[in-house]
Amino acid sequence: MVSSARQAIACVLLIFIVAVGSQSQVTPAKNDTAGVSGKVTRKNKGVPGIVVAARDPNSGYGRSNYRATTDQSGNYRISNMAPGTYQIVPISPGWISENELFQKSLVIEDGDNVENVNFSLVRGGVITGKITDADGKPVVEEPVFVQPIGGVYAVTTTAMLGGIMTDDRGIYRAFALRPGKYQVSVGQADNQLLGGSRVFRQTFYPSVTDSAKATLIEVTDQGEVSDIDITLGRPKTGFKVTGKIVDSETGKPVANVRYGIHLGNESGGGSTSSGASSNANGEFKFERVMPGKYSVFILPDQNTEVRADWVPFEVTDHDISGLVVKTVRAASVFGVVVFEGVEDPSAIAKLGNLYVTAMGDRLEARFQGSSFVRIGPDGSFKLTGLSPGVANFGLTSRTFDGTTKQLALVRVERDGMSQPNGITIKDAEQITGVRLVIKSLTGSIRGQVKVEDGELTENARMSIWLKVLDDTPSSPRGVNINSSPQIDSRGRFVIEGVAGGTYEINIAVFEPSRFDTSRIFKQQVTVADNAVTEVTVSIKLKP
Amino acid sequence: MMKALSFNILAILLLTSSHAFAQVVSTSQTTNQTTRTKTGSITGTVVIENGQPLRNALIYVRTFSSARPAQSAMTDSEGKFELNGLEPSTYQIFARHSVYTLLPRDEGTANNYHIGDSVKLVMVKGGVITGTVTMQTGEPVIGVRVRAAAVSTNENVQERFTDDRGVYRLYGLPSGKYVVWAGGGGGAYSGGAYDNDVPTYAPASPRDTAAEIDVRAGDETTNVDIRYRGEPGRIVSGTVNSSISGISGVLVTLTPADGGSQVVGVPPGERQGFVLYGVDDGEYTLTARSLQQSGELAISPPKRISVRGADVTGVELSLKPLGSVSGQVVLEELKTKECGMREPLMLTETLVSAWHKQDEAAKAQPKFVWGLGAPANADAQGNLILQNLAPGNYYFVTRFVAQSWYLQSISIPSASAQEPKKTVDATRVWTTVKIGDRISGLKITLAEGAASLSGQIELAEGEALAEKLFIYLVPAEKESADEVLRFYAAPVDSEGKITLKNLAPGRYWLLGRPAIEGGLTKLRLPDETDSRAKLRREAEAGKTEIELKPCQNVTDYRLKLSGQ
Repeated sequence: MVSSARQAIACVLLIFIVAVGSQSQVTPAKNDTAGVSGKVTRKNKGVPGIVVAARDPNSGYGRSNYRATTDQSGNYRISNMAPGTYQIVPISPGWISENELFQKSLVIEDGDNVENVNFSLVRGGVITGKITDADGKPVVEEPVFVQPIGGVYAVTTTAMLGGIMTDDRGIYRAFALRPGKYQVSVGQADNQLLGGSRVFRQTFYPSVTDSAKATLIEVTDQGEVSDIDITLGRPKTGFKVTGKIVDSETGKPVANVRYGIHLGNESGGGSTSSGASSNANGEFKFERVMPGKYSVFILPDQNTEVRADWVPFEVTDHDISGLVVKTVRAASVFGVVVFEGVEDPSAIAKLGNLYVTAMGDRLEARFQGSSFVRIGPDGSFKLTGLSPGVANFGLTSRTFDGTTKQLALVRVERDGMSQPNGITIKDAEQITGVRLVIKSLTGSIRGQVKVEDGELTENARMSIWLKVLDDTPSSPRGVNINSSPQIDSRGRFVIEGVAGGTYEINIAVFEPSRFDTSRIFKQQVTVADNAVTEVTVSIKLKP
Repeated sequence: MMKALSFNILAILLLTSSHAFAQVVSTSQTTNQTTRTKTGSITGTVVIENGQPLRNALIYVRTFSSARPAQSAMTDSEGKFELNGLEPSTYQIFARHSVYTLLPRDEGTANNYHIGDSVKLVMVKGGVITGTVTMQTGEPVIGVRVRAAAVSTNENVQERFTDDRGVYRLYGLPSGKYVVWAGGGGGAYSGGAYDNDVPTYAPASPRDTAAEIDVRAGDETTNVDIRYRGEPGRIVSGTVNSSISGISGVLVTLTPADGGSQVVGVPPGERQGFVLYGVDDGEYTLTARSLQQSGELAISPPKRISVRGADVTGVELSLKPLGSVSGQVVLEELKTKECGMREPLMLTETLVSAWHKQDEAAKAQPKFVWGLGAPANADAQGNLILQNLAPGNYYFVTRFVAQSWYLQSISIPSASAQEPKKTVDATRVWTTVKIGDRISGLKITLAEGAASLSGQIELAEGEALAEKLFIYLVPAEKESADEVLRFYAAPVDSEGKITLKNLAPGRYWLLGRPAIEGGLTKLRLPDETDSRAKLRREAEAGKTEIELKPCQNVTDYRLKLSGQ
């Protein structure tokens, strides 16, 4: 598995894609000749007018102009496709796939024409009703949870369209539900209460708070179940929590520090931050906090150069005031990012938007986020707000032109010495002379999974990941962090942006109907820089 | 659950990071003032039309120069809210509720508040537009995005998806005229089935023949059905170039000549591509904008494109920095003690805005560009900077809170190369801002000793108050004939009461007459010398003169209209 720091970086990347709605793909070039075709059916009859798209799984929201609409017989053909890894999926909000796997992964080579990528759809059923409060007034814009029971959870169409929510009359309508049994609920479970504008206690149809007493709703294809109404109790109001952020040395208030609240302890739970900052008097506040054990924390910030230990508190049955968060001067790291073996600093300038992050080894760091800062044109950076402990560095890029994403941090040096185990940091320390040595990831793996004893069922799914096999286990070398390799329905996979070295390919086979039987197959592979390594992985399904 | 929550924090960090840049600029200003000034609150209540309190309305305030709310609160069961810990500044107040909408402001009342204010906000149940989207065959169009835009502002106000019956429902709409459309407008976030189509406006057409739907607050407009055209839209694509370093994300906006807009995000880099899908035939303006690390914006000069039955590709947009004007608010205190108790003027509550000249050149820019140059408050030392000004001609408007002060003069260094050290009267000459200009030396002088005038219109027998009656003050001294800042105007209320405040001492002619077109705003434009001269002739003929001494508060003034 990838390290947690990497995961955090991957999150940053993913979120940024969402934030800017990145477009990784421009109009298809005319000379691309690959294509995908198939048929969309309902009860073995073709369905016309369904849009089928080929999405790039690495481009966040997966906007794609590779799309086609089914003809009168339900046939579609997507053409002029560039080689690459795609997910083929019908975009048909009024329909749901008959089985659980909706999208199909495909590795497409130059000029490839993949046929019979077929989809079987059903209309599904409808559940509708009205949500009212204790005074009989409609509850407006309240999320309604329509949960399939006794089956594998699948994203419903309404969920894709922004979730099921009541309108201004308190009415909700969930459609394209795969036939089966459903539980309908409104409100939040007690252990998930972090507060909000209005918190209702989790209430199930027919207006019961005990899930064991909930009535399940049977949905049939094209059936409509109406009057699934729920009356809620009084909303919970929660309690107000206030306090102050002060400088531990001077006792003076610290303004403009962003803070958050964490429910649980440092090894588990959930955190949230409204993005609010302490005011001029250093004050912070949380409204409507439900009973529970919490901590206040401050978010690392490049402007304030301070950090603080978590301050725990418990909410029982009253407001809490007078909490004091004491800031200390945090450590700073001054350094530079350089390419391995390249003296010319302009190589770094060409990378554009490259960010350096430092992840502390404290458990809290997982919840409060890590410091990150953009490097200067000469590769230099200054990271502040770091927690004491062992810091591991990471890189993240906001450029998606296919070059900078394939970078790896090869080595962290301090004053010319390699620091394979990270750098130990104390509060207020000014650490200088750090060099982050990076290299481009130029190796790639192209593979084929062969099932030796039979065929995978229609619903079987395979996942793949690489494990670094190396003499120095802490070596950060590895796979490009943007890539989440996929195995397609023909058993093919491509992993790009791999550093030269020896890896273990891991392939797991899942079948939704038998989750307990996940099987993992391993194979060693040696990848060279600037080369494509071909590999065949043979698997046996029978023990 | 756990992971999702910790992701949220990162999301917030990233989403607010653009504002964080802006924040850096203001931090140095605020730290200075926090050492001298105390924070305060703005409180209030929100009620619905029948006077009943409205709970769960989100109230927030924002200074003009920040995109981030300074403070927010939800109303309680009594409709009350309290926004605490606010630093002295000028705030705009906003209220949001999913079903209710704020009553539009009375004409002439500005959305600005200061700490200590108590505010009563009235919200009314918004209007509803509902209907069904169907294919040509009569089949429902399921999961298509339906959007509404206000005709008056061209701004998109709401969007919802159709359900399995093709039914959509848009609610909480302020009163006004709307156009409603389904599909099209693919760009950021969208990967939907209908985003690549041309938009279909209700009832079944492109924008130019769309039905305008009249929505009244509280009313439900039903059967606003859309017969979906289902034709593929065109693609508009190109690149954004920038020689500016430290760009943090680019947005490209496609603004149709006849309303609505389509926005797409572009990943940052030196040269990056953008694609907009589902574009209908028509005339458009393309504009790219981006935040720089300094907190200032860069935009591309507007590019006109024409979509005619084919994709438009290879459009090149080049980011250029916007201009800024910086300067100082200077206080001129009275030396004498004739005014008695001194009323301090809070510099940080002084708000200055740059208004652009609404000429032909201004129309070349999409409307939103003019909104980028937000007003700015002075800091505790009186320094201020007006950023993000698009190329154009500007004049300056100053607002402040303190009865005994008046706006005396606004000057700016001459732009003429021959006279670099000379200053000019910025109230009588437009200030020209070009791409990337950094103009400094704006000087706004506020003087102590303002006079005020209040009283009553005295009607002759059988005389009735005219509609939209205004009272005008025009400088009577010959040498002050075109002193722009000495022209004042105020509406006469329904009972004939008049109130004029913050007046410069001096001799004036008073004139009561129906509001002149364009109001005081027009009267104070640099190039309206003729309008001012005309009003002055009219006032002079009326022969009603008054002399206002420093700090003089004239009350119970009786103005006869019949003689005029």
